Amino acid sequence: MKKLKVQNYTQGMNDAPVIIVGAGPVGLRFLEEFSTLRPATELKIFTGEPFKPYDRVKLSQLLARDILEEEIYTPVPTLAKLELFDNCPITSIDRSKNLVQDASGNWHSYSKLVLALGSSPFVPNIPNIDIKNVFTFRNLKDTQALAARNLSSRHTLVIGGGLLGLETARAMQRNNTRVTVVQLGKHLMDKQLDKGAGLILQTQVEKSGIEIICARLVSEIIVENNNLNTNRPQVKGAKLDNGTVIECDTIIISAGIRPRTDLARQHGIAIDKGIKVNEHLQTSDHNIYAIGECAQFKDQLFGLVAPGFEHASVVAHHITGENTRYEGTIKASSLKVVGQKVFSVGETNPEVGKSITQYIFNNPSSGIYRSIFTINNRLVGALAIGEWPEQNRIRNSIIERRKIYWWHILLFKLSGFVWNYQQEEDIRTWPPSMVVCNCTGVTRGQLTAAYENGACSVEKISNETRASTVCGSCRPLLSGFTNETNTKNTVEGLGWLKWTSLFLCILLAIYWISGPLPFAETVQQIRYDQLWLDSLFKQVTGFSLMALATFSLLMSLNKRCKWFSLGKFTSWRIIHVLLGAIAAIILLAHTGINTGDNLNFWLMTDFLLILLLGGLTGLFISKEQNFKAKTGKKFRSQLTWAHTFLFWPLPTLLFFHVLSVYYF
Amino acid sequence: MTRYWSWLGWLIITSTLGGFFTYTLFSSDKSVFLIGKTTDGHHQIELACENCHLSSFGGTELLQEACEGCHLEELKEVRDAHPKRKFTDPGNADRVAILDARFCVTCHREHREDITNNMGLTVPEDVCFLCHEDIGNERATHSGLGFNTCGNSGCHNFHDNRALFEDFLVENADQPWLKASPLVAPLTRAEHLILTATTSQSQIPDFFQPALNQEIVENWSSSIHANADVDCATCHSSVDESWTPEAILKNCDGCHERQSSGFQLGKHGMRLASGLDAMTPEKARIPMHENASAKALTCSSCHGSHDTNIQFAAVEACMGCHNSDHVNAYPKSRHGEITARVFAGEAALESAVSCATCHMPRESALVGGQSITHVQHNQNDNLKPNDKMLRTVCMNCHSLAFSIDALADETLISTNFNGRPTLHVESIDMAIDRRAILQDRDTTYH
Repeated sequence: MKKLKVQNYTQGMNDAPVIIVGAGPVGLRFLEEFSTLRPATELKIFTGEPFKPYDRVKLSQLLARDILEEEIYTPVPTLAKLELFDNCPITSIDRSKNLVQDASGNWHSYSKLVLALGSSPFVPNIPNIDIKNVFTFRNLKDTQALAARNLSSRHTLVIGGGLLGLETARAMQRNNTRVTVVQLGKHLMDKQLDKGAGLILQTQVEKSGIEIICARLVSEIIVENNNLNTNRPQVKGAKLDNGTVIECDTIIISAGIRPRTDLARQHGIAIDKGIKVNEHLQTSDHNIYAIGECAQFKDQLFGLVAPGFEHASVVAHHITGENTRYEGTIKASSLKVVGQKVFSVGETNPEVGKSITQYIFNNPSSGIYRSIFTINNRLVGALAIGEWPEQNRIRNSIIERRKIYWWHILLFKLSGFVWNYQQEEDIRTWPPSMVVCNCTGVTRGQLTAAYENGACSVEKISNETRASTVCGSCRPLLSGFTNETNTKNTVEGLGWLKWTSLFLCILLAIYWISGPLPFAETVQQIRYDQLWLDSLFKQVTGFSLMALATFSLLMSLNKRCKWFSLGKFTSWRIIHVLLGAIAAIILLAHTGINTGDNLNFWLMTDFLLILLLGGLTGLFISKEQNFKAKTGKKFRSQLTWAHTFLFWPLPTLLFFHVLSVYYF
Repeated sequence: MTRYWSWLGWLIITSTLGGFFTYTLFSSDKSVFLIGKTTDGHHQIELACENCHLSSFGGTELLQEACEGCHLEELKEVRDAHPKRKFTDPGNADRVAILDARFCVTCHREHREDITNNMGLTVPEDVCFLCHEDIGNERATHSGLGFNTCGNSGCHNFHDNRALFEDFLVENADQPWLKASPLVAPLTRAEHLILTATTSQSQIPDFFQPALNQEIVENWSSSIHANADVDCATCHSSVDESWTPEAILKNCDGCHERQSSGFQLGKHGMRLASGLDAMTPEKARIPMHENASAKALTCSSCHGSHDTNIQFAAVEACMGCHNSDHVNAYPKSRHGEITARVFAGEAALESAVSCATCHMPRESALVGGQSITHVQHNQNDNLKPNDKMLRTVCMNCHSLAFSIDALADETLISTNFNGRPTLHVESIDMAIDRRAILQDRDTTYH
């Protein structure tokens, strides 16, 4: 018997392994995340399919022979503490003893059970649905069957014009098979797209040779009475609800999916449409979690892989004792459907409520259709056919329910872009040498390296590369990198930064306008000009300026040196700008805004420019979120550099200024 | 990498800039450290820093020493109305608190064009108010006058008040505008000698024979130098000497010490005195003839090397470079016409009013009990403020009242006094009025 290791980290955890049921992408992602967090914990993963774990998302590509079978398998991390049971579904759970029974009858004890059961295809109740040559398309087995059938099919009918239906239709076209899609909804992909987009998509799909019939129901499958094959009746055609008969030899049902809830239901775990979970993704039995497509959070079901990955991460952290919560995912998809880019995020059904407003940009000549949805001027949804370079920003803005203004809408209606349209938001498309984090100088290439080395969350990338550990403004960009959508930009003190910078800029503008202050014209008044004429005053103000300049360097120290980390960078930044503003005031007392000649002129000009660039940089940073990330980053980097570069000669100029004052 | 390069970049900039400033600090051209435009008085010698900044990290006391080095003698001569001792006297400590006049730089800061007024004053023009606030009560004649008018031409001069004090004004009231026989100061001994010089028979040294130039020999042999046995060898020791402006000054200085030092105090010679290269018209801030711009100023610029033509030195030499309205109007002015007659031999030499008559006047001084007349070679001596000319120059021929009015009339100055003054300064009237009041008061009390 194996001797169990002492596990000193567990909190309320016994020594039994964590068991994962289901080796789909979500189950595997959980495995990956959890084993990184707790490499010493034993793990068992069960899959009912007789295959190694594979990537379900790629099945339609496999069916279309775009990829080879080897390419769909997902590598399972080789962990000492991991046992993989394939072709071995879990049949029973003994919740009172924390045991599960597999198909071979063996019992396995678990400390936590993670159900990643996925979903099964929905098969509508149509007469003759179970006859030969009627297929579903969900798993590798289905794929193999369809691939075989594809060779002899002349006309394939696909029931369902959703994402999977269209992909299947495309795949089945391969051997010059005629393909017809029957869609119950009013237009294609009616869950994700509005009518306009649906119609455009339909045109595109029809161009590729697929026939589309919308708003029709298959009411009956017609059986061929073929005497040669009497074993099992087979498909001859399909009858639609208007009586039309479509002759076909193959029918694929792609009418949606249903969460697999049987195992849960049989063992008294609360279910609704899916397995009900709380904000920690625990089922009604708190030792059992449900993630991915089988889970139901509040009223939400999940049909895409991205939320499932989030679930995996939340549960992995929760099991290790962190109080992670799941707050729901805004449904978002960015996919290629029949070679056409389709993007959909958030609320895209204009009929959902009266308060929703839809704006459309349609440019048929370039095949671009875009639409945004707002409630009270806040972005709640968007969809698009064709490329939309802004889509990451749109998605983040919808998550954050960003406000948009009339000029955004005007721009959108005119150009199809809500913001500026010149650059790509997605940092993955940036050149590898481009700096993403200005504070630490981390480039896109370094981030990719970290990402590929397994840092798959913003937090991990940040820890690994130190990117976004200083001012945090590039955090949303990192999230674009990892596809996490709930990372809000939480830079502190931007308000302060804005107002101090603004004050500084205004002060400098006043100096610019006023020019040198006049000297007193008479001795019969208060000699205010003594401030910048009297030697004692000048020494006081001069050395104060020097001290301010030195003190403000502490921010740079804080930013650049790991060993100097006193307080938060964001606070230092505000202090830095504040010191600049104070320096601008003292500079007035020191010089009366006289620039002087030669060395003094250079020093004064340099100092004023440093202050100005600093003020502008501060102002820009406080407003950076209004700019496109790449533009903003570039501009900010240039401003910061100019500010820094202008500082370079300052110590020398200042030294010789002070020296010359006493020397001569 | 970026960090490494930026540190390197910073180091390069710092060391380049630092090296440049350090080098400059020890080089002869320190103009990089000039904090502003130097005043008209000192701009010629602004790069001879050590002339005023006697030592590095010297401070105000050393600056004061430098000011006094050039200007103290002059101040003593003119009986400075506000001498240092008025302020250093312990009994007058309160005055120092108001205006620290122990130091020239209190009122005359250099390199501060932005606050520089007339006469290099860098305090507001009404500075007199600080001590003389009550003047209106003391003198009814002054009540209501603005404090910024104290220094007006013909009124007061902070340092040289010799021609403007009350007794002098009263004494010189009521005179005709032009004297019956207007003659300037008597000729100097040199001038007498020049006028009486004959052709000398002195020998030319042998080693000069090959290089001899007949014109030079003629010039020299009819000059005062030949008459005074100052032969070639006095100045020349070989033929291939190079006569730089510095060398010429040094050579003349051997005999003409007084003239040479006057020259070096004025604007024509102050650069040479400071060890800089000689002044040239192109370095001047006042209008000069372009074709003269490169002429280096030394003794021989006006006096010639071998001839001793005093008429040339008195007018032509000046007009060869200077190009202001005042200068250009001279030949046709009254003064110019008189001088032309004198040069033509039609009038006595003492009645000539040349450029030099006013700007390099003959002055008499007692030397060993004897009154010696010499020419003031510091052209700046009586130039600013122009009321310094009243006693030494103008009043030789004109009344005080006329002179005061004329010097206050800037249009008249630019036409070189071609006409009569159009304005009137009330200095004498005020002095007389006050005398009358005081006498009245005396009469009443006695």
